[in-house]
Amino acid sequence: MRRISSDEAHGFPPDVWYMLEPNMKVTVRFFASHREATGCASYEADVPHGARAADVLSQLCETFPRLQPLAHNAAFAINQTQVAPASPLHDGDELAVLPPMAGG
Amino acid sequence: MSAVFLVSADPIAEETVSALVSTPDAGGVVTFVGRVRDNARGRSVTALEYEAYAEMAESVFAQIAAEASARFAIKQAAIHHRKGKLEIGEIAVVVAVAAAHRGPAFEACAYIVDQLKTRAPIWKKEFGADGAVWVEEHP
Repeated sequence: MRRISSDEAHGFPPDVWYMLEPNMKVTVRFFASHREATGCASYEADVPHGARAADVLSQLCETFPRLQPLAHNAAFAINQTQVAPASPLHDGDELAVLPPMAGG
Repeated sequence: MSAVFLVSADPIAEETVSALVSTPDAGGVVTFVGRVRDNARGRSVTALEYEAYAEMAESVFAQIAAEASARFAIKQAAIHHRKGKLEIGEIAVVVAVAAAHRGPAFEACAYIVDQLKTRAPIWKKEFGADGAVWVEEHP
């Protein structure tokens, strides 16, 4: 299998990523409307090396089609720190997909 | 003694949170108490359910309090937020701020309440006569 850099992999659609590099394990956390749409609070995702937070959400929308209409205004946290959608993930990370917050 | 920054499944007492910040050198203690209201956006509300990413929310509380300390001359802040299902009138959040004088205490308390609504990973579901909805705006 040919190895390529994560930047190069980014030019490919998600459905061919599995051919490029071995996958990473990411623990995804869902909350509120997202948790109800997916039916799970926590999900172990296999994602390609170099995947970014927003890429994982796109992949999850294929796994959980009911997540798709809620995905547009999601924010992200990696290991409990809020990050930009383009932030890269590493093996073993916890990725939280955050619906619009409404505390208080 | 309970934690200064806390997401709690148990009821919150205003006195508990203000006691966490009250020290002999603090002449002004401002406490904000947020309670469950029976209406929102023109519709009646019968109950609220809060869901939290608790471990992250508590670190966001600490970060917001640190910002408040950097901006205003305060001594200590404490933030407790409920999770789970709450009835009308129950306490959802308490923010307590202590300072030598009242001015910074009022300003810092308002800053913390404003910030936590949009930055703390906490969500609320409103239950009403016509069903339940997850709230996605910040009044």
